[in-house]
Amino acid sequence: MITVIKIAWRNIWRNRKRSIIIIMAIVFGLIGGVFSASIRLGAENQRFRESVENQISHIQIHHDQFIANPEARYRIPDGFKLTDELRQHPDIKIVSPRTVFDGMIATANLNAGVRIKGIDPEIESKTTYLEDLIVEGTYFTEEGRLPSVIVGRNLAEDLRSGVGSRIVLTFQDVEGEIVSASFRIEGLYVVTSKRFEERNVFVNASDLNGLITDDEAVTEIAIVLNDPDKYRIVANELREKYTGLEIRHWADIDPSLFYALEFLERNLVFLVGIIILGVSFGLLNTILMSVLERVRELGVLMAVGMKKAMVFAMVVLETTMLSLIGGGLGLTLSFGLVEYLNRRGVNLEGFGGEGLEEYGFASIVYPELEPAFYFNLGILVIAFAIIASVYPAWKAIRLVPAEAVRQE
Amino acid sequence: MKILLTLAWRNLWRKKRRTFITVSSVMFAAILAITLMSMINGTTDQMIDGIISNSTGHLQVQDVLYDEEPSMDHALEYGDEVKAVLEKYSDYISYTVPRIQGFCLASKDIGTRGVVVTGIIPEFEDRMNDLSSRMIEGEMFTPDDNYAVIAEGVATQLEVAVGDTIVLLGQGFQGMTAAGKYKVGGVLRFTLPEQNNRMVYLPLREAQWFYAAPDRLTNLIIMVDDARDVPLLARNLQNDLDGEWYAVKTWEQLMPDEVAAFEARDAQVRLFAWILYIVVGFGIFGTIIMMLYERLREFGILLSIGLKRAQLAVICALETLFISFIGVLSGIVAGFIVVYWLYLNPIRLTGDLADIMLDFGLEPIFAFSIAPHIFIFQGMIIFIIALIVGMYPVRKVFKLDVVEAARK
Amino acid sequence: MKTVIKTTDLSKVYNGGAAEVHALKNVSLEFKQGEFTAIVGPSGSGKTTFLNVIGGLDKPTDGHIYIDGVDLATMKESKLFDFRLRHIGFVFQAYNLIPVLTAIENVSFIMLLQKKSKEEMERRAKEMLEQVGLAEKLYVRPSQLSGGQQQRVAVARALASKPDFVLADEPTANLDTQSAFNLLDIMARLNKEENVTMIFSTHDQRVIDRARRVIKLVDGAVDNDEQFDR
Ligand SMILES: Nc1ncnc2c1ncn2[C@@H]1O[C@H](COP(=O)(O)OP(=O)(O)O)[C@@H](O)[C@H]1O
Ligand SMILES: [Mg+2]
Repeated sequence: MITVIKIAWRNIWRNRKRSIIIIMAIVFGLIGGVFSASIRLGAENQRFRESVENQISHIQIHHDQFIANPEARYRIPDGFKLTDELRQHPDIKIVSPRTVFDGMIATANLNAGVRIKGIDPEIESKTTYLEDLIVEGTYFTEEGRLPSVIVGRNLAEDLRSGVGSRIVLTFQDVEGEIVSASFRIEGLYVVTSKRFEERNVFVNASDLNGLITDDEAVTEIAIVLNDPDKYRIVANELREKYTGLEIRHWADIDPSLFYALEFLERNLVFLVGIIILGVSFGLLNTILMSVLERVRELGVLMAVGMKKAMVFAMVVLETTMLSLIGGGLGLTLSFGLVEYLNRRGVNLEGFGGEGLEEYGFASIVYPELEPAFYFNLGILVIAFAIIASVYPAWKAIRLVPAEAVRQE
Repeated sequence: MKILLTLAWRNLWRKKRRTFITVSSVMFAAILAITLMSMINGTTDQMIDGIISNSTGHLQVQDVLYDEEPSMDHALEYGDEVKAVLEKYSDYISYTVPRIQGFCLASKDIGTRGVVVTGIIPEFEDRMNDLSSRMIEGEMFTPDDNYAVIAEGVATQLEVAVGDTIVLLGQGFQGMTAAGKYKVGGVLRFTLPEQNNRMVYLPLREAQWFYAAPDRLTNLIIMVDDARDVPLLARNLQNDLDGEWYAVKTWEQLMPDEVAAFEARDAQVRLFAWILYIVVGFGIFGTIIMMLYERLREFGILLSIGLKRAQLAVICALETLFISFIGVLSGIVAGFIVVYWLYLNPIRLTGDLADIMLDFGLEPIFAFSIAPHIFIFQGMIIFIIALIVGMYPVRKVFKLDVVEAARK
Repeated sequence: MKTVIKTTDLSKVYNGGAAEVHALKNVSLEFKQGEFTAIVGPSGSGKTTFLNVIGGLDKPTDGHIYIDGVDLATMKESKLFDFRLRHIGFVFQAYNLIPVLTAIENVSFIMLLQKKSKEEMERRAKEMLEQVGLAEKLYVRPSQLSGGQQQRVAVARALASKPDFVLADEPTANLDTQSAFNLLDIMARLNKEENVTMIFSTHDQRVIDRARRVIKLVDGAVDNDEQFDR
């Protein structure tokens, strides 16, 4: 056996060109497979952030009347106490208590119905990353005469106003009394949904103090989880614990978004699968060809007395060694590539992604990948390489040596 | 020259296995590219169809001012003029869905809710999105009935059951007050909360009477057989209708967010297609380079007995052409079989995603498209890739060292 | 007799690997019309290199080759291809037929490249195959011929286009004694009948005994150059 390994190893070096081609085929295949899979995951996480995390958060808690009547009077009882309690939960990363209600936004001659969201700017920038969504102006940094409001760019356009414009917000306090207050637009944000931009404005919750109530007025609690995939589990757990409240995860809140995201993700898994099939077939054909080409050489070996089993073992061993070298090299390179692109980003503009930023979709994807994928793909490719060598090796040893030698 | 053709053709048949492997690498490339695109197109159509039938329809005719200010005052006149124009394009139009829709207050006893009251013809709604199948209680009205069917959320909030009466109050045409008492004849359940909490349906004729707008509609939805006809049909309709009163809008104009989301997806999916092309290109390259490696000696002899490099290059190019052609042709045939099978037996989806899709009235599958252009276009792309990759041996012929090659 | 090939101070140095290999050292030789010459010497002595260089397949490092007075070194590659096609016939050690063509197609191949007329080509190809004793194997592919028969087809091909001279690199190396003699008989006869110069390399003593001129190479240099009357 040792001799066979030795011969196989020497053959790899003797046919350097052929070996390099096979190694390259494996390396490029792995890079292609890893690259597409990493784009998929990177884009999935990005889409999730753009549409779920920037707008909805993983879970929301409300008073059970609030959904039907989004008014300040439907407060969450002991909202801050609940907030502190939730912060102790091991699966929960961020809890953002908000003072949210519907109202009107008005300029001198235009107005619109909006949802006013009183937030803590610091917590919010970790919850919906609102600070990162600002495309014009600033994020609650100015200490002006008037309190600040952040509005969607689309809404600002509808109201024919912009950063620095004065607007009036009108809403009901907890008693149902109508209250009006002036604000100044400090920043404009953009998200993937125009409707969201038109419907939601953000103010500093402390600026609402005294306007709504002198007491605490938490009407909405947004929750970000450590592991976004656990949204159903955690929501169910919270529902059991806090029975009087309306607790909904993002898929309850926007089922069509859940459909759109989930459908696309499953779709992309198949597309990555097709690419990996492409990688496998390419490898299969390359190796098939390389071994078939050697039928004569193998015939000579058998003619000079090498046992068939040894010839077979030699061919398979050679491919195994090559695929180990190629696999190691390919995985290292693709790991490096993903790490590099994860920092630099892949611009989709060349593929028809132009102008998407207008809509809050990033046209740059940051690929990422779970470590397990490298391992699985590596195994798959090596297995394919070996399978690909078994058939022609089998074919070769079944030839009568004289016949093999005569083949030119 | 005929002899070159003869040589190229016979070379293919001499090493059948070698040719077979090379052809199959091209064939698999074509099959995979076709499958990829068939899935991409199929699922895109599927998502678009789903979204269209659940919201705006393919096209809408509206009053020119309705988009800016969707009020009953901007309801369009659905008279002989419009009907005549629709008749003219009846070959392209599958069916139309007339709606009159406005914002009202619904009340029973002391409870009051803001609702959307829509007048419909159930037959057409059912054709568009199977509205009647959402009925959880009671029965859908016929065009001549005069009772209401309401969404589940409205029923819960107003605490009404089938058989109870509700009062509707809103704005009718040209400042008229719209008011009416209607018996609730059925309850519908919607997946989307904004529908489930807001929808109230009346028979079209009754609603027109209610809004004091006989023969008027707010939206005339037009459904087509082939979504590709939409832009042209929109242009034609707009040309034939009086532009001072009527505006024809496509679903793309009505749902810019969704269109942007589709474009974002498309950009990524196109990147995937490119990755596949590169991966299969390398697969073909590996196969061809192995084949070339094996043939260098043969090339050397041909060159030393007097064949010109250009002539040998022609032989190689012809072989590449044959192989690419046969590969792509068989790939298209095999790809059609694969895709057609998947078209008849689509991939079934499971879990929450399947439930949501069923709720939306969508079949929980991945649909595959069998549009002819996919086969032609993908076949052409793979043909070009194979030709480009197959030019490597041709170039190699010009650089080959004759002595070196002949002594191999 | 007219001089067909003349070499002056021909040298060839290979830089392969660690050391330089002087495959040919200052070889100056003349070959006259109608010669039947064997290049002999141990393996590695430079026979193949010499034939390749005078056949224009390889370039010398130093020195000149004149064919009918024309210096090969001054020729561009495309010219050289044409020149080879018109003036030189080749027979290699083994496997030098085009596998996908029949015997007659192989023999016609060079004439076809020379754009000879179809009738002439067919007549000549048949004639040559008859000459080498393969009249019955006109339409057979190389894989169905024995090694000796294949070499005979190769000789027929080399001669069919009426070259000025034929270069054969160890044409009998892969043949059994009987076939080797047979092939040499044919070559010798054609050499006389067609009055074509033939230069072949060999290290087989029985073959050497048939040559009328024997040039011995040792380490790339001419060691001995003898004429025999046979
Ligand atoms: N391409 C090459 N690169 C390096 N050395 C070569 C090459 N071709 C031939 N040689 C060397 O040149 C010498 C002469 O070789 P060759 O002409 O083939 O000898 P012969 O035909 O007499 O056996 C040998 O030492 C051989 O190793
Ligand atoms: Mg030699």
